[in-house]
Amino acid sequence: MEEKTKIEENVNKKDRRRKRWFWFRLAAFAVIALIVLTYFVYVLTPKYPYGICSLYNYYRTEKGTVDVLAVGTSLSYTDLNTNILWNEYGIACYDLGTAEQPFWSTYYYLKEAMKYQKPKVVLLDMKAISYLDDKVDRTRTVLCSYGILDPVNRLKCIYECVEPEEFLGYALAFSQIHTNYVRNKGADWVIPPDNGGRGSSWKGYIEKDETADHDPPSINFKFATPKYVNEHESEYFEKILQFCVDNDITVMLIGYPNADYKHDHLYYCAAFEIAEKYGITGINYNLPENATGINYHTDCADWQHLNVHGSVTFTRAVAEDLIELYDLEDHRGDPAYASYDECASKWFAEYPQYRKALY
Amino acid sequence: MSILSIEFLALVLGTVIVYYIIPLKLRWWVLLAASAFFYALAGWQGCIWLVLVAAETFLMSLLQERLVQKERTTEKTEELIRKRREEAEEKGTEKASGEGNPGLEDVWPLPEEDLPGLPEKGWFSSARKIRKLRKILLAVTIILPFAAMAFTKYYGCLRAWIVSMPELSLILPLGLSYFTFQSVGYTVDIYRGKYAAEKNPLKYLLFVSFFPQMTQGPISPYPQLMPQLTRGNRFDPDNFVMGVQLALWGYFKKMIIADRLAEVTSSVNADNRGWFILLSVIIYAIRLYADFSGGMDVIRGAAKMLGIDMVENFKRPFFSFSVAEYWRRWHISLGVWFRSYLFYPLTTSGFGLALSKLGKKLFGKKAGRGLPATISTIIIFFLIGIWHTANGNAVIFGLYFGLVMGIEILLEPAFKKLKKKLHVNEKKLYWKIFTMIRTWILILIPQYFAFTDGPETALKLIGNTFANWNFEKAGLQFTAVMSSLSWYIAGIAFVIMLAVDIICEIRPNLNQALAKTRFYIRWPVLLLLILSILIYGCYGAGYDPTAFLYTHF
Repeated sequence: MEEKTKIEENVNKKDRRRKRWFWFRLAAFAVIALIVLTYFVYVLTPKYPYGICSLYNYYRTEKGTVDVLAVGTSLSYTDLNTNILWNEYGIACYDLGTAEQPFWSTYYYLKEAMKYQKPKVVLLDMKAISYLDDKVDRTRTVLCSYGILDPVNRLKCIYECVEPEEFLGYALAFSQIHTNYVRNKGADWVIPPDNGGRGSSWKGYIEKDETADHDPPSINFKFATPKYVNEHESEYFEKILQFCVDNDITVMLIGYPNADYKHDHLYYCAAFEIAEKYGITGINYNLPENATGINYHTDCADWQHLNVHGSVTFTRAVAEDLIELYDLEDHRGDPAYASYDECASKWFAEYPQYRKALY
Repeated sequence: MSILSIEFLALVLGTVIVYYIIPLKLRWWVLLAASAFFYALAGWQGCIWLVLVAAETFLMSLLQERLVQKERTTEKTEELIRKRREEAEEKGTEKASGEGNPGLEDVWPLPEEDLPGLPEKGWFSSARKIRKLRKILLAVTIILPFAAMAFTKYYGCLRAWIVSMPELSLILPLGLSYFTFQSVGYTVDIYRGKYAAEKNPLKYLLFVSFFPQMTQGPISPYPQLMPQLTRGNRFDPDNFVMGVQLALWGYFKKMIIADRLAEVTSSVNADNRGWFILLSVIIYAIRLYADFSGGMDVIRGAAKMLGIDMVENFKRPFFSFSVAEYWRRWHISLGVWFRSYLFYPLTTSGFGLALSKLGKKLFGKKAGRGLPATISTIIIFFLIGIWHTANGNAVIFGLYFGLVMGIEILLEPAFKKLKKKLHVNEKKLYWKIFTMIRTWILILIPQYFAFTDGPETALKLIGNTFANWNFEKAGLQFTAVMSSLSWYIAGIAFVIMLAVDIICEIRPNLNQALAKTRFYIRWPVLLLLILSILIYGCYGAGYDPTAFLYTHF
């Protein structure tokens, strides 16, 4: 009888040990699987120049070096030339814009960005105030959020972007990106990404070389009754402003010049009105009094974005305002800012015609 | 809820976790709750239907069981009375010898302990009458759900023929035929007195509605499934791993092979010609196998994680040496159901015996004996055909298989003689290859009817298959229906499936072997499987998911 109990005890012990070992192996497998799957999400996520790379690269920028952070839509990364800002004014700026970024994305980007840098001023692109959709109907906007490292921020951002029933599919990523194996290239497998050949010192500016002939926006600027603004956009616009107020972040609203401005004007007026409640203001560069010297016939790349020449002209005007409004240091020559030098040098090697003889 | 959906995965995972953390005795409640949740998501109409079928078969089975007992006790009583009469006759009592057969009153009263029951008047006055009553009750039990199912399934088709019929928006509940077949099978078994009826209505409801099998079966026999559902299984790592592996393999077959090949089969039309039609038909057969067996593996895998072994529905049917064997390997549970509850009753009933007599007259002793089986096979396959869909193609599909198998049965003695004369050795490889190819050809013909919308199209495609075998623009024809990359992916996945099936044919417990193998072998295999499903599977953005071909039954 005793022997039988002993045998039973031994069997139970063996079984317990076996189960414990199983759970340990299961956990190990889960970790490995998670790492492998995360890597494949990275590989399969298209790294086109629509903004996701600027987020990947943002995490690699030396901590505490960004003085000016531009967030918002594609207007921010095509119009604001970080190389001009650095080369001519010593302003350390990073363009953290993504294509058609709604304010709810901007909010989570900003929350994420503030964990890594303490910029002196945040330039908040106002374009999103004119967006009318409650959700994002362009997948690439959601895809950009795959670059957010903090999983909670990332999931919240995705949740705001898509319909609730689609959330799980987007959150698990594979269902949205797995077919990209068709387009995968060798560079997609490399961590960190080469940012379209721009290297790791890149600061988010994406140039547009095309030229489109446009007339300056024809508009009666006196007529400025704010138009109805999408509730989801205005909710997150206010959330951004509140977040900045709460965290003592200086924000400057910025209206990037675009040829299609006549459709946006009344929305921008609404945005300024909302921001006023938070004691936040900014500059709308579309207004005649804030003209930057843009020639719409030669400086536009398309109906919204500026080309390289336009971005250089525009950035110089913005730089003057930034220096005047904020206490921005000139960091040129500081070894901590070497990557800004490197980025600008690379860019000017491609576009030498825009290099000003400064020294 | 599709078994391909994230929601289904979450439900399985949640069920597995809750199932193993609560006490053993309560575990069947988790399965019942999960099944109720799963089925409720499919629509309330289906729930009502399911509960009605379950209630009807449950109550009728209890009644049948009581009647079986009553019949047995009555039989015993009758037997006892018969014996007493015989004894009385033997004793040669004056009354008995003087007035013929002894009446009941003559042998009455009997010692009470000898009598298990007393004969009564009406339906319970004799075992024969009780049997008749049980038969009537069984017929009602079977006819009610089947009639309702047939009405729902075929009303639309009938209306297409008879336009004057009113338009009704009938909803086909999820897994209607699977739970109907399963519960009716159970009732028949109780009628036959095979096992005791379930007394707990909720446990019975779980047997009828166990969620993994609701989408496409299998049709599980009560003694095989029920104890596993209600006993409360302890967590077994091996079972869990095998379940995961099986489910992954199912997803691989469905999402990479079946859904990818759907593009090819859906592109074939009556205007196509030549070899491409034949290829499409072969691809359709592969797709159907990958789709159905893949879904079944997912279902069996999910159940296995809960420590429940569900019956196997596929045993590599394309390795069959005859059409009969093919049907023993394809949709096994349906075949078993029809064999148990239709084929045997048909062949052993008065109808079967009469056919046997007729057969012997017409074809001689040996071949004639096969006539009841032949006719029953044709009837069964006709029913299997219209079970798929009530259209001309389904009827032809069913009758074709019925006839082929019927002829096989009838001519078996003649074939045996012929093989003997030709000195055919059935164990030789050449014969195996020959019979396998013969079976493939016989199986491929009805596929023309399975994937077209009408007999005319199917017949036209059969005719067109033999016309214009031109390979000049083969490349263009391939890429017109699917990209080259997709062809490569489907091709590689098919080769993997074939290799696994060949290995399983030699060593059927491959899943178990993989589960027990060293982790440094198993983990990469599992990771590769997961990655290939996630990357090359057909799902997600820009993809219109293909429903399982066997979900709508």
